[in-house]
Amino acid sequence: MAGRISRAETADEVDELYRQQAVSMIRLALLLTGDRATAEDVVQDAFLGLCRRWPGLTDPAKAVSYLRTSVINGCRDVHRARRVAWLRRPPHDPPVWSAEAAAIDGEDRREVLAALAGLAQRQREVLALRFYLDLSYGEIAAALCISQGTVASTISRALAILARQLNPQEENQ
Amino acid sequence: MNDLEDRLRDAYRAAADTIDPATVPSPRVSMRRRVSFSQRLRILTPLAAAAAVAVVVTTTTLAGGTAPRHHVRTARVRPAAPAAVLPPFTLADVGSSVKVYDTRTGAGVATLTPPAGQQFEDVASGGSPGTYLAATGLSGSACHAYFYQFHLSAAGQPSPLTLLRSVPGSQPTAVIGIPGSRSYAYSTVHCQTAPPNGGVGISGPAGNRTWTYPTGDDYTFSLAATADGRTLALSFYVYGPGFQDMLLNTQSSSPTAAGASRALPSVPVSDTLAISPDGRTLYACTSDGTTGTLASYSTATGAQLRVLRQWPVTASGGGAPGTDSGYMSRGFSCQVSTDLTGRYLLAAVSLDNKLDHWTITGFDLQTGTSATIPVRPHLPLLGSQLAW
Repeated sequence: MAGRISRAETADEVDELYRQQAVSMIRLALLLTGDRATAEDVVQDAFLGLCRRWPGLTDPAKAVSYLRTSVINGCRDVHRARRVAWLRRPPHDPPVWSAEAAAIDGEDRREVLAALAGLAQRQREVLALRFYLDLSYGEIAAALCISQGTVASTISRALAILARQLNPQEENQ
Repeated sequence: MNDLEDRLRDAYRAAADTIDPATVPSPRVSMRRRVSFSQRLRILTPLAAAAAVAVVVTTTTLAGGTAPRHHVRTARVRPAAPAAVLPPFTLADVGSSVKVYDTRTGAGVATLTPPAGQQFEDVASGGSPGTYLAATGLSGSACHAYFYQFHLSAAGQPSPLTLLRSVPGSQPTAVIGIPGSRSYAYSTVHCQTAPPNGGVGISGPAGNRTWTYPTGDDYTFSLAATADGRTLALSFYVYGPGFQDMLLNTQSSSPTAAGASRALPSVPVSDTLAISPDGRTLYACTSDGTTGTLASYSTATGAQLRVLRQWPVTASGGGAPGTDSGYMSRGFSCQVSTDLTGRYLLAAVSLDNKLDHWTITGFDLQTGTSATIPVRPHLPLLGSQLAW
């Protein structure tokens, strides 16, 4: 960014970024948290955080990367908060992968999503970034602040776990 | 590509498609508004009792007595009330400069410019009459927080800035002097997203002490301090509970701002908080979507003590009062601060997201009088932090 952009320009750019990215960010957060209300909260907070940090961003073009990382961090905070029963929010909808959630058609899809929910947090994050957002290993590494080697090994282990859960017969053969 | 990866992609897509783009909500607050919180108007009306002048604009009384939280009383006009006696100058931080206005006439008296390449982020009382503090950040892409001290002459002319502290890699969010001392409190937020995200510090002859924000995207919107410096009032944001009014015990051994603080859940979340020098009273604003209210609260119990002023508000969005979204969508912004003695309170109010229509009011809490200060700086964005 060459020089400081005006406040009005900043606001306009962030508003425009919301229009462009809100849906995909909420969908990503939904995959990581399981319910829409929390996903929307996480994304709203991520955009608010972006507004605060906007003047300090070295390259506004990287705002999407910043948002993605903020959403992932926000989802982690949600999980942490739930563990300590600290999140003072209205009751959440059942997770999108649960049997009670009728939004997903197909038993196989629910089975896959339920298996994903049983993975470790980082494994869920890496798989969502890889197979939902189609990010490269490098982009995933940047988003999660881990090495590309860790990305590759995490994906490999996560897929192995899923394969055992989803295809037990094949694993036993 | 294999079968498992295909199944993953299909499941992800199905889950994601449950979010219909047409049903995605608008931002709970305009990002335009939110930006302004970190680039707020800072208005400072220095108090110098000996140099105080009488303001002869509209004078009203404060609604007296204790008002139940859900049964507040509107301020009543008392024509016979004496004219409010307010400080002679009002300072407004508009980012590129701090402007000094004549409180009575609204005329510009002086302009204080930041060092080259910097932009003002906050201005506040320095803890003694005629002494002030300013926080600046770099106006370019790099991050660096600077905290300065300056003085204002009897004619309202500012002295050059004297550097007190700089914090590389951070942006300042607030600064406040400790009344009657050479100490001051400050807050910063790191520009990197990884924690720790900055923190609150207090600095003085005894040294420097900090409390960090270890998690989330914590942020202190305003700071206020008691006369003994033992308590800081923070309008604080922490991920999870969201906005909170908090009292930070500066004697606490906790290394974190949240750990050293006590939340006041019954006091409405507010853009800024003011605290009386004795630490017994908080001043905060709230809105239920139809009425904006400035009131005082007990720090011991959180109970509302007195309604000082109310304004009609047109709600600009959903969200229940008392929640993050309710706070953010209320179409009402109010910034308050007290003077060194706790007698005077300054409030800047913006209604219905009319970003360039701020109403600035000074209150004399002892006589119960108030006066509108004819200073209406043009702001491209909503949001201000008020300091006295």
